[in-house]
Amino acid sequence: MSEEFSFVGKPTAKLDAPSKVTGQAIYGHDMRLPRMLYGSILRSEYPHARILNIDTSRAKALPGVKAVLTAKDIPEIKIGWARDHPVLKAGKVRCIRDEIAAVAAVDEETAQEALELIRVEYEELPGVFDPEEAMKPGAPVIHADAPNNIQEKMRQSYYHGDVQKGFQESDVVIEDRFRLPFVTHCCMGTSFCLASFNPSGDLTVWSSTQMPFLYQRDLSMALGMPAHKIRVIKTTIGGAFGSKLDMYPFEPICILLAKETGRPVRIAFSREEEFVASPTRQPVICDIKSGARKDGTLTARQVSMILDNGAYSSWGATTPLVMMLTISSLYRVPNVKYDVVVAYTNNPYSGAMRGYGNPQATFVLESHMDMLAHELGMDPMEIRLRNANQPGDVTGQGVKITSCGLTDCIQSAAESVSWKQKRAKSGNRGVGMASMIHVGGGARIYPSDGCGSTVKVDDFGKVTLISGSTDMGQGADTVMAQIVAEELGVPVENVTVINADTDITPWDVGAHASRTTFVAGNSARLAAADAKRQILEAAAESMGDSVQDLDMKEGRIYRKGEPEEWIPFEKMVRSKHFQLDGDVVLARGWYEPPTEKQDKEYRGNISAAYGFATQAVEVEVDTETGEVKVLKIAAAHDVGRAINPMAVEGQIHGGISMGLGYGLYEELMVQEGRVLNPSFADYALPTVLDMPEIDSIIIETDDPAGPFGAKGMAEPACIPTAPAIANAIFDAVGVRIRELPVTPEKVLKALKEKQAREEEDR
Amino acid sequence: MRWEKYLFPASLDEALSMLAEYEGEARVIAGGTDLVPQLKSKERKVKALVDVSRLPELQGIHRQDDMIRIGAAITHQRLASSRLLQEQACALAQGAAAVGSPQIRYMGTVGGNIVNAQPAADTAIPLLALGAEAEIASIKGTRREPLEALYVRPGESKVDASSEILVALRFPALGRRRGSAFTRLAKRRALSLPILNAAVVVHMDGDGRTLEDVILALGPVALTPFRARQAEAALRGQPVDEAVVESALEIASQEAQPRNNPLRGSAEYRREMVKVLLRRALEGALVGAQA
Amino acid sequence: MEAMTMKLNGEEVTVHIKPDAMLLDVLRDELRLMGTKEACGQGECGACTVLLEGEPVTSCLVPALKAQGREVMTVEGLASAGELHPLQKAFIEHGAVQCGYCTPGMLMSAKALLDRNPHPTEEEIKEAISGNLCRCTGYVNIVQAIRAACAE
Repeated sequence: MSEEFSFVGKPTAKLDAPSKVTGQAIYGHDMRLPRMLYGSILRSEYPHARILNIDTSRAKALPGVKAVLTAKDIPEIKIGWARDHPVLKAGKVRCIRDEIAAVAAVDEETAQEALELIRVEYEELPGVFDPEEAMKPGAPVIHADAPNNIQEKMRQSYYHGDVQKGFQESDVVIEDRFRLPFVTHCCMGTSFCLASFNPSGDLTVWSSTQMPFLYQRDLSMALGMPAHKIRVIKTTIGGAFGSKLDMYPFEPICILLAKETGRPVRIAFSREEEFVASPTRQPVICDIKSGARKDGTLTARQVSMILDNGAYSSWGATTPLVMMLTISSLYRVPNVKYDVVVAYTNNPYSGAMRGYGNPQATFVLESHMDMLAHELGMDPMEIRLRNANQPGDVTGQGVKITSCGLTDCIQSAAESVSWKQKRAKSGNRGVGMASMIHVGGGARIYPSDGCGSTVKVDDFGKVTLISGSTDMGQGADTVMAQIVAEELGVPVENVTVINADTDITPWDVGAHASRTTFVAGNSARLAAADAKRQILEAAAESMGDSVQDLDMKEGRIYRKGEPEEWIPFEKMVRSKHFQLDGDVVLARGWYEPPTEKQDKEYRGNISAAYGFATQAVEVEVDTETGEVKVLKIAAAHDVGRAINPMAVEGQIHGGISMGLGYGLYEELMVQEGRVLNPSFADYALPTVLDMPEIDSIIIETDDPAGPFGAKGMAEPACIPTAPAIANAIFDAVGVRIRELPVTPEKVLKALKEKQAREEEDR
Repeated sequence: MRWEKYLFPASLDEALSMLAEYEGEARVIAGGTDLVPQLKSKERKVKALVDVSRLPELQGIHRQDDMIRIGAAITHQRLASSRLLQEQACALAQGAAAVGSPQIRYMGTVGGNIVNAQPAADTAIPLLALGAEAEIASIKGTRREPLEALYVRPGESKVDASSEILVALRFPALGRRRGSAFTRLAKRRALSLPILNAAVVVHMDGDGRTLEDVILALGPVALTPFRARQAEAALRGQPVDEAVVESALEIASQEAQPRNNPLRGSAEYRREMVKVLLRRALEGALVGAQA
Repeated sequence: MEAMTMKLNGEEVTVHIKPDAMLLDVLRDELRLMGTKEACGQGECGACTVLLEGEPVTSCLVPALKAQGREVMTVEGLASAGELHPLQKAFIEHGAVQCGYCTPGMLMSAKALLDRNPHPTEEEIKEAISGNLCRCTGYVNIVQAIRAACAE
């Protein structure tokens, strides 16, 4: 399939790799502006307390301190999804992240020292740290306008079909509770913001944001300044994974410090601060009831979730919108009910993290699929094949599945781990699998899901793509360059990508929902096609041919059928330019995916394409310590088309390392609202020695709507890993763990309980 | 300022007089991998640091008669790659190889590991099992103390790093019929502090079936590195058979008193792991003794 | 302030620094060599790895004065005469760089390995970078890149 292409489908080195391997790439943390000040933030000592008094006088007097701000120094600004989140706290603190004061000083050391000189008087209040406890009568009230601690605006209810009927028609019905923990992004580059006003009051913000335009809008609303006076520049980013999909208090704080001092101010979190104050993945308490017929056909799925909203409403508790896709549409399920209640607690709040709820929902569903299979005495692979989504399906939620390689994914992954030979064997090794569905063609959660592109071709053949898209290190820029090179017909070395500056680029909603290749790629393709048309039209006129008879490939313009007689395309660009009535080549593209906004019942085709994947895992369990060693992971991903196979594999490997961490090692331990392990020493993200052998299997289903058939695949890579591991553990030693991470202690405890039960039965 | 002066003495005597000059407000630094984080977080405050990492008296891994002497400034990397240690005290080489990461192993020293006084330090546990003795220098002279005596509680050493310098460690080389092994349980395979460390040294008697002597060292199960002495007593002079070993391991898991720890695990789990790790270390040491 | 002289990337360099500065801060803030990154400041992630006398160390924990009179190499010292080091070329060609924040530290750990062991096994490669955390790549392409660089 990819032999017809010059650049699409070829492993291509990332455009920014050379600057990164030489240390030349400038990240936000590396930027130094003249007269720049360093900002720091004083956070709450208690998870729930009244603030009686804040005394900043000693901090203000410290030499080198240029500004100290508290809530009373700024207009009242409330941010966040529900606008319940004051940027600087007065009156009350609701979690240990709460920002009470901010300092700008001449260097980092002084900025930190100043914090120690600020005296805050608190009256500690009883806190509540579990969402179920928070909803009980008599629980401490966290926000006055939510006396029962329920965030009503985030409550969701979905159904299709009739689950009661479905359960009645079932031959087996099982019910279980699952718990998913706090984990965190651990981007190697910590949270960062640099803000500077010019004398006319125009603001420039250098940020690691994944969504420059929405960020610009959010800043405008928070600061009460017109958005056209705000320029957002995304720097080279040291990782994002969803953590930069919102605006957090430290950012308006940074800007307010810049305003107050009249100097550029930079805030960069320390690693400890990053663990404590940057948002987490949404923890979930999930009750699920699943039904199936004897032959393995799914009949009904009833899911209810309790979400810990933390102290303020952020993106975390909106993840049910994405979880709904999996719950309604992973495998063919005729009857589904899904209810979510969201409760405030004095815990840290959650944000977006790779998968946006899908890792949690998939862990629950795919564990339950295996449990159904076990009840039925069926091979877990068989039950999945029996219920697999097929191309052309329209699910109960109105999700229109076009390209779909799920069956292929299941079979390929299984074969790679020698499923038939290794399943259900005695000993302490086992195999397990899990699949997933995720949006792969944008996600219409905002009035526009589009992306704009401009392509300019200069007199020397340099092609510049100016795109609204965001590259956060995943390689989106390189994929865009390949798409433009292919569509326009120029060597990929000629293409430069400029993005991430709201003053320069057209709009894009942001890098989320694995949409960049699909949406920004399609947009780039349209612009490239427009540029090609302009060049060929000029060529046609100049050569006296008609446009339909000409083509352009790898920088050469030729008559179709006569590729040996070509002229270099830049020559045509020059001749088009340097004449009376001349023109330069300036092309545009705007792509809005052909999707629907969901109706009030959450029905609608939210994405223009869906990605599928199956990961199959072989594990070995040490039955004396409970340690689980993952021997191999086979990851089969339906990506439509791999425009850059090297980048696709990179996403698979990286996603698996996150999924592995989620499954076995990672947990941000929050106890009584405090983070117990805010360091890399105690938060165990996988090292190279913890990684198993990985077999990446790229399945190409050539999506009709994707650029060159491609669909998004970056989030999917971390979604099925944890349930595949849990399922493999069950195959290996017969214990089912319903809580992540699957620690050795949990496994050992389950093994002992199983042993005790077996001895009782004798 | 974290410190005002950073000093490089040319000799042990010069180092001691530099420390004396500061009257308790200076401190010894070797690799700094434990000390620097403490100074950065202001857990400790000093006026000056006296860098002993280049002192000739603190170098070298040598065998002198039946003893092995290790300079306190020897890094974990050198311990791990030392042929002498791999052959004659392999638990120590294994323990050193398990320390944090290559970078920490290249910088951190065995002396620093001990003076930092953590009950589970990867070199302290094997050194305890090897019966190590420390040589400590002060302006009053040099003294020798058994390693075990140097620990007061986590983070607090009997060695006063503002006036004393740990110079070297010595322990008997393991000869014929002696073996050692080190095992570790951690959350992941690198960059991890131990959930549990265990080191065992065995001394078989002539018939190769009876344990003439055994030392079972582990941590963190107490305020200091721990020897399961009751379990040792149950094994000493006994033939190595499953019943004897299991009964001794049970004793060890009772006399060790790990507590519930959200980061390291429940007391129940850790007690169970005491048995598992000691069993594995004992098996490894016995293999070493046959060789 | 104290004077500190070291041989940095092959060149003798003298800086005047606060006595309690870390080597990482001197490299970045005094010498403006931004290639070496700080990702934790605690020696727990390896992003700040540089070579001190050819050995990989986490420069965030190294008092700068420890490098007095010593040889230091950073990522900026890898390329020579305008030509990228085989490790750098291999990282580019094998997709070993995504966000790139861990990359300089990875390269320096790999350089230290190849200098002492020009033909490491895959296990030895993994051991050498076991103190370098990466959140993007899953390490697979990094290991492959280092292997490829050895073959040269």
